[in-house]
Amino acid sequence: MSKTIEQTVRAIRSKNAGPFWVTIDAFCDNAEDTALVSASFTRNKALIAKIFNVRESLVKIFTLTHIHVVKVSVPRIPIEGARDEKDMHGGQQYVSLLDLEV
Amino acid sequence: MLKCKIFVPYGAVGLDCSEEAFAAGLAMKPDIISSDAGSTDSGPYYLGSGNGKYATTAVKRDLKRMILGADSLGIPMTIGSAGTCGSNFGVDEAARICEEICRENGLHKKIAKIYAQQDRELIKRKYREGKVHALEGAPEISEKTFDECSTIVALSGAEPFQKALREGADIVICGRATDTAVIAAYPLMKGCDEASCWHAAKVAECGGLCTSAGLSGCAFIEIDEKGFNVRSVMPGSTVSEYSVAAHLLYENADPVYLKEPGVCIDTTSSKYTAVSPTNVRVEGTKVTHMPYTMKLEGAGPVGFQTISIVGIRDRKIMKDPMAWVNAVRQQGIAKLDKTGILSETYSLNFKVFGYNAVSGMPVPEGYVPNEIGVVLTVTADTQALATQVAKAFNPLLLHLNIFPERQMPSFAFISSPAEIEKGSIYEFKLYHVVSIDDPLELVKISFTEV
Repeated sequence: MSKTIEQTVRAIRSKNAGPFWVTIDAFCDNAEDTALVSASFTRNKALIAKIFNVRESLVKIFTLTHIHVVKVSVPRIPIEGARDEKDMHGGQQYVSLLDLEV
Repeated sequence: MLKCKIFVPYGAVGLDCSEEAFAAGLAMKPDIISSDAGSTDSGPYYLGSGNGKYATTAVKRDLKRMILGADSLGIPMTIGSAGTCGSNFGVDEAARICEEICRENGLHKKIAKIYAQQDRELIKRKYREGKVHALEGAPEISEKTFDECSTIVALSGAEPFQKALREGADIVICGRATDTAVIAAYPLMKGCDEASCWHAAKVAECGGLCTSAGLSGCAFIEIDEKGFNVRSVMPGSTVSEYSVAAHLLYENADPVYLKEPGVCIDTTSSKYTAVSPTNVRVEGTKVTHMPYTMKLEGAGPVGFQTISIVGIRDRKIMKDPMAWVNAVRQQGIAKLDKTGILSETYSLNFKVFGYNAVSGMPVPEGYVPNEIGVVLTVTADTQALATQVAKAFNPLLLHLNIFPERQMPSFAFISSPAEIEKGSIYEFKLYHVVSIDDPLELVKISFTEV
């Protein structure tokens, strides 16, 4: 059985990147896991777009091989601090990606 | 060889740092002490209202440490985004605190105040002239959007800081500025490698966060004509190629390119080398010059809120909390409707903590919480109306029984009165840049001597 993102990464976090974007950093232990996580995010781009309610073309995935990190940035909808804000700093948004299969 | 040494004590002025680390940073003989003081990260209230996030006493503590430290070495200091949002009020307030500290300590200093808050008519004119451009992910705007903003600021680049330093300021207090400009300004002015100045500033902008000591541990950067070094400050702490490279990820949508007023920094070919456990060398960062723009931030009021918080442990309700919440909602709306308060005049939001308040998503099948906290948020055009609506919900939140066979329950309010008035609330309105020819065009600089 394949593993999930949660079972593959060493650490994962999310945070606002300004009021209009949210960014998720997945830290891996080695090049192999980095490639697996990167492939999973890339394969699941449409699903990530759906989770964050954004256009797929705006889901940005960066694979940083030198530090074994995969970063996903998406527009923040609704924007930070909008009337019924649920997560002001965007710090809990990463949880939505934990169960993706790698 | 040309080398600029910059001590960055804080992640933000008001956030504090360790006394031990601060003393160690001073002992490394910096040429300048610089710190950012702002952020949009805590929401639109600060920009919309013009107020700062940190307590005045915390800001004074941090500024005092900087002023006395800089004075002991005979060096200048710079602060960017004074008062969290970088409004004119934030600049004046920081300047007032600095003057107070100087007087209390018998110091004579030249203080530069750089104002970055914008006149909305002027920005509207730029918009009409086609000089305001949306950034990716920006909301649709019109001329009216600028009227809806209670505060608009433009993020200063390095130039206003440089002008203030050239004119002999000991203490430079800038309104909204990019997190990096406040740190990069001095080494850029001295002729250090341009790409390295910006890249180093980005690494150090959260103070000790790029080191093993974390936020309280301070950061120290040394920039020369070819690259820069990042040094840990807190005794016993370290920096690594990893901690330095990884900091580019933080609160940053793009971890490779860094866009600043007039430049784009490319870290694709940056090389990180550990010189020692406390010193990392970075070279190879590239810079491209771009047409000069300043980022605009704007926020404005969008109504008033009143909240009520009630806790529930009732085991029957726990089996399907949303059935109860939905009943409260429907009965409250119907009740208000009968008194002539129509649902179009207010908005309701229920967050059910312990259930799905943060995700807003369906819960896993079979999930039964032990207890929940229900936060009702009412938004309306006036505080009085928001509170009136919340009061109408009070008996429902306290007593609503959805099981006819049971007697009237009472639930657990956390306060008296149950209604908590939050005052005016704000929203961010702008995610744009404005094209300008002169980096000083949208800022005003004034000097005072104390």
